Amino acid sequence: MGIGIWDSSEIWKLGYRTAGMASIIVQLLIIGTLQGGIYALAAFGLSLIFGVSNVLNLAHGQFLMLGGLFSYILFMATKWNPLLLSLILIPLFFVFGFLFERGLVRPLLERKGHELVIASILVTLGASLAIEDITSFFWGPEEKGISYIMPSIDLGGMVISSIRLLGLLFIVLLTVAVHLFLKKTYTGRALRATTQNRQGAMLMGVNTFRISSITFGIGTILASAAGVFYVILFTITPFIGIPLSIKYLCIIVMGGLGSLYGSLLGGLILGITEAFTGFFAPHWSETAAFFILVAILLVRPKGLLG
Amino acid sequence: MSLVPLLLSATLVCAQVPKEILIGGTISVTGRFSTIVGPFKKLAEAWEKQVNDRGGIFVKEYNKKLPIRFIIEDDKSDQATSQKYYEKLVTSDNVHILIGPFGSFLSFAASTVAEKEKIPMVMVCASDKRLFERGYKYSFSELDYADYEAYAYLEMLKKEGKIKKMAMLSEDTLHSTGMLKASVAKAKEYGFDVILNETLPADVKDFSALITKIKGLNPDVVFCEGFPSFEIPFMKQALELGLRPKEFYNGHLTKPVIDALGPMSNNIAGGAYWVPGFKFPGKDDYLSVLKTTGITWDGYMESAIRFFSYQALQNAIETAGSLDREKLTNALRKQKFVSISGPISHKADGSGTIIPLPIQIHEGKFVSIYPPDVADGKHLFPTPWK
Repeated sequence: MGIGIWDSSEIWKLGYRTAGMASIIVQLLIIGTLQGGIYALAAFGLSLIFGVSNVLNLAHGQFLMLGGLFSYILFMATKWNPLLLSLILIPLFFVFGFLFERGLVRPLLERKGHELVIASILVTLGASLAIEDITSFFWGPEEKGISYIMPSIDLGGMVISSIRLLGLLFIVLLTVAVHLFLKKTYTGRALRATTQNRQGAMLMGVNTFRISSITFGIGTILASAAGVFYVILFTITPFIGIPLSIKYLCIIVMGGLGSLYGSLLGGLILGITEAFTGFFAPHWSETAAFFILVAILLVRPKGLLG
Repeated sequence: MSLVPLLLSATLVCAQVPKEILIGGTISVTGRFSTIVGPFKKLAEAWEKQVNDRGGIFVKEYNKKLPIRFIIEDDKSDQATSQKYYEKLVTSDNVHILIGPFGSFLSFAASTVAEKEKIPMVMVCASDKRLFERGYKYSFSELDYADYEAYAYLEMLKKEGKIKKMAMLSEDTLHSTGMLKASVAKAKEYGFDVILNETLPADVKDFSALITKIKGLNPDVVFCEGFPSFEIPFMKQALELGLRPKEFYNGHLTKPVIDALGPMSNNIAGGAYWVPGFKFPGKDDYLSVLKTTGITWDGYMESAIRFFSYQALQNAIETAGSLDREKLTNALRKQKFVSISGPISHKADGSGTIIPLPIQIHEGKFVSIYPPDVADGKHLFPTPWK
């Protein structure tokens, strides 16, 4: 016996299909959020550097690559948990970022506005190419990946990648930590002051050059941490740096240059976009991300939170 | 009788004998293909030494053996760079014959130089059907169409009769899309249900969404065609997200895949152009060249293709008896010889006759599994997932 023009079996089928589609959408949202977390981790560092120094660091992707590479080297030598090994990298990459800023970026900081941005693009791009060649020469151009698989979490058929979940938790904790750092510590307040008005901060006794170096150190740590997740989830070669830098640049532009929360949001939007297009139209996943970026900038030219 | 004309003509003849045979080519020392062929400049140098230690290649026109010398440039896995260097090799370095770059993608650009300059090119690892639809007369490949690369594997599955559903995907490059399209058609011809047929951008890294979709379809075999930079992230994520088909097939199953996946790489199937079970001539020469370079056949499986391309090149020079471009081209066109991977000849469009045979990873090693006369192991199916 039917209800109206449908019989009950049709309603059950529709119910199953709707429930099935709802389950897929939830799964895709989870996938996209987790992937967005990995994106946000590296984009956060780039946004931080730009916010303080007004420098567009195109070597940021190379810092991620180097983080992945050193994780790989340490893992192959010790076979220890690569996520724990990454703790060794924190001081190493802070020093690297600090020295990178002192050596290559500091001489540019006296320039103003567009001149500074253009000069920083050229210098960091050059550094990026040099890092690519040096890495390729010493460690080879081959794909490198860490064979480390954590069991995924199965929630009634919906699978959550443990490693990506860790990445997301990491970025959430980091966001809270950076927020507290910026609000509660002298260095954090000095960093915010430098972002708002460099000259004013200098007049108040802030060593803005040192702040810039510290920021680069922190940004480099974040990129290298993203590199650890990258080499576990994907693979690295010396040549991934520049394309990744461009991707993260798009994320921070989408979120709003200089806005930390904007870079988080931009990463999440990109991750979710890629998840949905990856499922329904995999061939168009890269193009869809581009269209999202353009659409956002048309509506909000300064980015979502810019 | 004056001796002057005699001496003059003798001098002229002597002046025309080249001191060496120049072979020009590019190798992807850097860039996305460097994973597969990066160290192959050493391979060229090792083969050059092997040939020269034997006096060189006999050229009938000069009635002597001439030493060979490679001029190799780094194409950076880039078409424009490859094309630029091939122009230089022909117009500036005046090489006698060209050896192609790696793969269909680069060969598509590089072979235009051979055609324009009317100089023969022995292409390497170039097998996309579209390469041979252009009517080019000066480029030759030893490989049969890329379309047929998985045919032996699909034939094996058909004969075993244990699978019904296949999920098939590839990266969006010239080689891989051609191979996927033909493999899908062959799979359907064999009666397999192709439940997924997708092409993705070559630089995609996140496959989670697609893997979720494939899991829902529950295929017997997941067929992934692409280079290691595509296959490895796909496999890692598939294993992480619990995709457990009866078998995975990777179109470019290479040592970096084993290194990146570790024990999880066991039982993945793929294809190889040469396996130790082959008993064709030149095997000892090939292994000797590999030993000199430190390259292993399973670490760099395209080394076998490059080696039998060198064999083809040598055979063409010996057959032509000359370094004249047209004579070399004709020699290549009519070539028939047995390489380390079996008999080679060329079709009218310049394509060859060699296809890869199925292999599988057993405890971190490549094992050939089909056909029975060259297999040195059994096809382990289905994968015993823990």
